[in-house]
Amino acid sequence: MEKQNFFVDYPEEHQVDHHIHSIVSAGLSKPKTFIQFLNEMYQQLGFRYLFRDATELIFVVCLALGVLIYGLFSLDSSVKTEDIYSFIFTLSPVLYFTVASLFLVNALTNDTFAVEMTCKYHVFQLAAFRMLMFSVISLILNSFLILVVFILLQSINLLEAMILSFSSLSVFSVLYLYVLQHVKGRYSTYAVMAGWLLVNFLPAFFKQDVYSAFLSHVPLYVYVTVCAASLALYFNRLKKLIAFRDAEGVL
Amino acid sequence: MLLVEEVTKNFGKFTALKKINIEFHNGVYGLLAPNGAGKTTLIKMLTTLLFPTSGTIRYEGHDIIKMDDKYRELIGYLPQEFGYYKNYSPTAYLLYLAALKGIDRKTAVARVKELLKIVALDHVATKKMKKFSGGMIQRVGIAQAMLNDPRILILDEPTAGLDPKERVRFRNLLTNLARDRIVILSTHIVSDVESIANEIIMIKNQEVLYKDTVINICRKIDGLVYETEVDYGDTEKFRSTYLTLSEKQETGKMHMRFLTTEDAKPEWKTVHPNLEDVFLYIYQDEVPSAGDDFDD
Repeated sequence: MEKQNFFVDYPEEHQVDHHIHSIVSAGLSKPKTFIQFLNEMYQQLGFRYLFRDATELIFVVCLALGVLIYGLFSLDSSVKTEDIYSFIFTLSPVLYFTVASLFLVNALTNDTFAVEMTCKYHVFQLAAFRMLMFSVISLILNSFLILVVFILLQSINLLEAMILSFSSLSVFSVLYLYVLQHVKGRYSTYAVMAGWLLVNFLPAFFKQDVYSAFLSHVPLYVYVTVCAASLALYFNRLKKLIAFRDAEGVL
Repeated sequence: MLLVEEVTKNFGKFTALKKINIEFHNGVYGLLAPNGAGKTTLIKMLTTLLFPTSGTIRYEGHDIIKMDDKYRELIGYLPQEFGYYKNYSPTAYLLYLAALKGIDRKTAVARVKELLKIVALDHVATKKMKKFSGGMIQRVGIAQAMLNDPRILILDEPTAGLDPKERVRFRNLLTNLARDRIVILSTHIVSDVESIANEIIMIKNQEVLYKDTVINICRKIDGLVYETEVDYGDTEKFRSTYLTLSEKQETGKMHMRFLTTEDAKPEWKTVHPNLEDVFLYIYQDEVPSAGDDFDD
């Protein structure tokens, strides 16, 4: 019997590559980068829903700012430069803490939490975006406050004060996010703020000279290093917040 | 298909659910058990609000936790305590949730309008919810669960606060929806699921006791349910002897519906058991009194 020859239309090499590529890309979706994710979320939700509580937010920021400005204008002109640095370091995270705690902790304990957590963009993903914005806003407002101090009391070094404030804010933000994700309980983040104030005020209270001298004599490059490291850790924490689902302590 | 495989959930040393296995296909499933039996824990695991301690939950073969937002896009969920922002109108709140669900604005506006009509809230679509009754809030909750036209609709005690007319309308709506999706209805109100559920799932001692049709579950106590009339003076003795399922005063006597394994007496009339009878029988050690109101 004569053997039958079949014609097989083999694809070209580039066609094979093309098909492999399309199958792999359909099966293995490329994970979005942090910035891509935030951008996509912003495109979908817009300012209106990411900051649906904008009015309350502005009110609280203005109130906190008012209190801090009042405090600045009440400063005695004889206050030592070193003491101003210790105030800047201790109080820089206050604005950030105020806005973050009031609205994030509320979101986690609100009755709407369960519904919002089952949506495509859930509470922690919204929180990551908001925290980033809060830290930028805090940074701008802290810089403004330091500028006010500089105008009132010319004795401080503007750049040094800014770096000190930025270091304080970035270190605190990392601590805040770490506790938020690892320590269960409604008041854990409040404990961070209380702890921060205690750790900074106690040495300032008992050994004001030593504490202030320490802060003002730490070389600038150390602060810059601390800032850079904290910033990297902060972004890492925010990325983890996007994938954070272990909210059983809240439920 | 949604598949719950060997799922256990522990809270510290307390075991809420133990090696649960359930398969869900399109249709209405009534999750029936007394309060505290683990219904809400199971529901929260199905919505990824809680993770199983062991075991997996799969949708179309994929682990729902790994599916992440892809799974959340498929579900609609009404929690037992539905939260809302008091100063929002139903339209504003539903549009906000639609955005979180990833629905584009144009589609969301049309969908919200349609849903508010379905749940009969179109006349108060722009009114603030702080003045709404419990039933109206619950209807907003039902609407939000349907926003994304979910493949899996999970409702925890959905009829709480609804009046009888609203309940009927809601049941009809679910029956319609269940033709091409999974509807899971957690409740301790037997009448909510008796007429519409394709299957009833009963949980006892942290495990699935029954997963079957209403008819098959009722067969479990076939021939054990009776009705009879008792003099007022003998009521207490009767109650302590038999498991009374319902009582009614009638023509100067107490009309009792009860369950017993004893041989029938001539004055007893055998009746067909219903799901509530099974519920009371199964959970008799967990239910305070057969005459209590189950709609609480």
